Amino acid sequence: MDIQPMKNRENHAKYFIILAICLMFLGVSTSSILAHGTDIRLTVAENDQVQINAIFDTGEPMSEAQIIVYAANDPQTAWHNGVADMNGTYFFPVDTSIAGDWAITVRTAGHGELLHFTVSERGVISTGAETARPAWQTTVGALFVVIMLGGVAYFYSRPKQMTMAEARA
Amino acid sequence: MHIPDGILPPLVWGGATVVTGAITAYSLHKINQEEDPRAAVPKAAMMTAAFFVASSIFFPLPPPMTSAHLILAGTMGVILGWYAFPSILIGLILQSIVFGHGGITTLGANALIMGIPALLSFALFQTTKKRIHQDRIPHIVGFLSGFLGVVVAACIFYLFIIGTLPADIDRTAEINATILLCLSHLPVAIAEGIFTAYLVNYLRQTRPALIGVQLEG
Repeated sequence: MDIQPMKNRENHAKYFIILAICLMFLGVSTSSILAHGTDIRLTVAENDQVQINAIFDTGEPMSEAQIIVYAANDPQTAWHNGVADMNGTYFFPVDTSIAGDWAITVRTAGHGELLHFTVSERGVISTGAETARPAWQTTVGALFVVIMLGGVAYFYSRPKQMTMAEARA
Repeated sequence: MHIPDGILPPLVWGGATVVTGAITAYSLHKINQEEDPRAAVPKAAMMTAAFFVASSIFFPLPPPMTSAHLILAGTMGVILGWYAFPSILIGLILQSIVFGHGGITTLGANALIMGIPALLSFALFQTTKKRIHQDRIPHIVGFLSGFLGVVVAACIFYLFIIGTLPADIDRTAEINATILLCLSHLPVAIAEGIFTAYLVNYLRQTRPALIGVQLEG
């Protein structure tokens, strides 16, 4: 049996897998993962209100999602409850006298997210500045995962090597 | 059908992780007992890629239903057998990293949601394998495997969500929304049932070794 082409094939498969893994993680690490199947944004609206825009990553709104707000001074007890509208939008007023890290749970049918915003000692609301990962980065990441798994399949589909004893026999 | 981080309490996701670890270890033990454990790795890798991609394909459904995505748990079980559970776990890890579907802490729970139906479909297929060449059997067994793969996954998802509802949530609204989500996967269950039925029948005739059966005749 000719060993050299088989070894070349093994090496090519190894490089193929390593390259795919590197590119996949490069694609992922250049952006922040915003959410898990959902894309929920907090923005500061007028009159010390926080606006929630909740959609699934398919683009559908999280209609009638449940909103539970926990104030900074008591993170165990719900400070405010509400339900998003059909577009997944919701506004609520913030008590700016309670400074610290506030939490919001947005969920429907077991899908959702826990988000945070802060109220400073001066009563300024800050929601952070998360940005969604561009669709092309997800596509590229997914493509390299498929290539990587294809590489694994290719690598393990090589003919089984004979042992020396088998070759002599 | 992927539970994200922050939905399950730590005790539940911790317990699910332990159970997933145990099932994975048992699956690997069964794989190691095979004559050539590496032989099915190419098949497992390709099916993991199919599972990884399939879960990102959503079907828009008319209101009030929400969109639903393919799961392929039953198909994975039939084709991969004991390889199905580890393959699904790897697929879920990659989905979590690349798509943001599911969570890191909930990997164990999500593996149980999709891995247990795969093993059940595998068990169903194993019990009927001797009669696989009889009339209509491949279609019936294939359909049931694919169909039950989605239905059982929806049931486990429902139990996880409804069994762990926090006290300060509107229970009725969340239960209704979860039931609606599970029902939205019924068309997917039928589609996967039909797909698996045709796949099993096709492989039975052309590449029976892929599903571990003897060639007809």
